[in-house]
Amino acid sequence: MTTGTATRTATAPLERHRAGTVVGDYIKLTKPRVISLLLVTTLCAMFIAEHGVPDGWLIAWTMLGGYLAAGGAHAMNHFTDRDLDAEMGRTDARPVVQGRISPARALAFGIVLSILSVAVLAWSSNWVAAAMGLAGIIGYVGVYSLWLKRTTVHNIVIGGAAGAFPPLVGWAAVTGDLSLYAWLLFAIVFYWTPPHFWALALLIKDDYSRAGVPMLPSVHGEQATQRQVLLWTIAMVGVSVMPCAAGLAGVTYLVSALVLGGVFVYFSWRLWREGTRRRAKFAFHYSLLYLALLFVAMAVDAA
Amino acid sequence: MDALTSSPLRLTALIIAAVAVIPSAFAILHTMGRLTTPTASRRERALDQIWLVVPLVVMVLMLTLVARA
Repeated sequence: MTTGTATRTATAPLERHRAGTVVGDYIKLTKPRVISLLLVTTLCAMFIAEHGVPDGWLIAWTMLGGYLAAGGAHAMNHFTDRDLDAEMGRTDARPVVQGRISPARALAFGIVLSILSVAVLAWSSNWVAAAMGLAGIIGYVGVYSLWLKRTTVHNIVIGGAAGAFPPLVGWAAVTGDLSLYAWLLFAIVFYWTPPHFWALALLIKDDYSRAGVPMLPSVHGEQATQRQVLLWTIAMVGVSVMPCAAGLAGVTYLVSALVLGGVFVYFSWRLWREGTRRRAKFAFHYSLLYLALLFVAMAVDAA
Repeated sequence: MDALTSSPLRLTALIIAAVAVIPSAFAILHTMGRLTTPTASRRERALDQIWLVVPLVVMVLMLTLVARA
């Protein structure tokens, strides 16, 4: 009796640790670090659409719905890409690859989160926001992960549209429709994705080659990719000032977009000229900061 | 168009957008159009051309859209 009690006491922390690991693995399936930037674009789009501070509960529910939508899509991506993830150093420790979560459970988890996201967005805001969340999920899992990622070097150009839906969710949650400004926000994220993702692809080119994913640097080399990063960055800066050209944003945003974009072009130019890993890292990390600050600038300008 | 010409901010932004978008769209088309995958089938090459051209055409069309807004 005493021995049994002692054993239970001894195993309790271990079970708690296991339970914590399982919960942690399911959270990892949602890719929280990636979602944080997506939610910044959703939140800022809400502020821009409201021309001020939206209702606190609406923000909370939209953030939750946005997290569930992106998390569901990411969990399903762990299922669809498990063969590729096993070949890549960046992803081979993922819970499905390591066998800590079965592929079927990852898929089921992703489907449940996706259904919940549509329900939360439809209930808390409206069906337009819910439809945009669903479109993002279908775009990421169906168009990008299952189709384009494995078949074309343009995978992240077209597939990048999936990551551009979060600002539409935020905008629709506030207004119930999608105006020209909302679609310009979509376009900014869409045209930001190629230089952002190709800078990352330059850093893990060997991983993509080993997994057989036709990413631009693996198929056409580093120099061609560095040139495309520069060209797409310049084009993206042009797209980023379009809200001002349409009369929807003011001088505060125009100056911010040009300064932030100018720095991005500088980093991309240095990457093209020098072609080093260090320069690719700079371009990649700055691209993350750039998008967040650009959206914050738009929100400040709209207030 | 009247609204555009009467607003220096809008006109400036449109010029900047056009200067950034149009040459880079042509440069992307020129440089990426030359990149062909030797193992790709005719159908895959045709699809690649579509994936390349569509986002660039949309980008240029967006210029006209914001100019008319």
